[in-house]
Amino acid sequence: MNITPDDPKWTAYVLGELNEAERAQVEQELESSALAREVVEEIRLATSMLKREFAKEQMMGLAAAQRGVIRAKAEPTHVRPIFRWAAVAGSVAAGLFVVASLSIPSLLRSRQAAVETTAALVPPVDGTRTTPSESDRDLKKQRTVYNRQKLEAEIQQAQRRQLFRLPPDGTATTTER
Amino acid sequence: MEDAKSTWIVAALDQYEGHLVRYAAWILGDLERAREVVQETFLRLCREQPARVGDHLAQWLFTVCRNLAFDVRKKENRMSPLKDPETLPTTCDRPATSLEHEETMSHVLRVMETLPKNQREVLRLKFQCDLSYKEISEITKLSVTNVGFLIHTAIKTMRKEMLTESAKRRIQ
Repeated sequence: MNITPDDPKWTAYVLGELNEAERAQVEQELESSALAREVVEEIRLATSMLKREFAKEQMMGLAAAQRGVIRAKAEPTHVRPIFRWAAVAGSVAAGLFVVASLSIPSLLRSRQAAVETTAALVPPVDGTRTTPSESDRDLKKQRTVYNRQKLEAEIQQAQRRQLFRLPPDGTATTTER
Repeated sequence: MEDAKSTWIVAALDQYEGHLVRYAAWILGDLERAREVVQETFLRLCREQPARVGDHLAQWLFTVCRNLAFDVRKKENRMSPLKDPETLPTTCDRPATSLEHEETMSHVLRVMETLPKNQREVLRLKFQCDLSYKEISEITKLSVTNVGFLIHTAIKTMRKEMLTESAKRRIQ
């Protein structure tokens, strides 16, 4: 059998790196070849010497403080139930605060707008209609005037409808304003 | 779940701490820097999901440690050659028990020093850290065949040198 001492398989065999089939093949060669046995024995000596040499190196580890930091980091973070409830309550309170801070200003604005609209709907004492757009050129005011006129028109329409509303007996009557 | 992770990290620390410090010290040539690198390696492990590491814990630890050590070296712009394993402290407290043994060992160190860096690294990972060819290949990004070849070549060189040395001694 032709033996190649330079083949890495001998080292792999000594170091237990071969699979079952490869190991069986090598063992067969070892049985039949004295040269193969010699090669393997030399590799065994060299590897055991290397292992001894590396084992001589002082076992160095982390400093106690460093080990402590790692162990502390690895510790599971247990939260006491009271703190868990506090966290839940805090979250709910924060949520409510956000909702309130968003909704209250808009609610106030709509209420103020309603008050302004009501005031605008009250007719002047002398019965004359003012034209705010003439006196006030501000865009905001113009918009208010527009809204007011729109509302007035809607109210007039509603009043007209009320004048001709049908009573329960079905006869059409006029109602006083 | 959290307890299991904690146990897993502590077990990893107990098993690999020493090997990682020695490996990082070999790369950096500085024990304190090596300890910092290994601490950072384990802190990163704490942030990692055990399921993601799976049964590749050794490869994961050595790869992270190796990358961090090389980053430190790069950052510090260390142009000086690496301190070799031989320069690291040894536990041998019996210096004169066997002169021949000591001579042989010092020769082993001398021969190891002459080996290329990649051969020394795979030898260290194999014989000191007890990793398999496959694990070494994942850490060093070399193929398994290449790892086997490097280890075989390193051992062959050392064997040859040691035989020459013993022959010389016999002649003397």
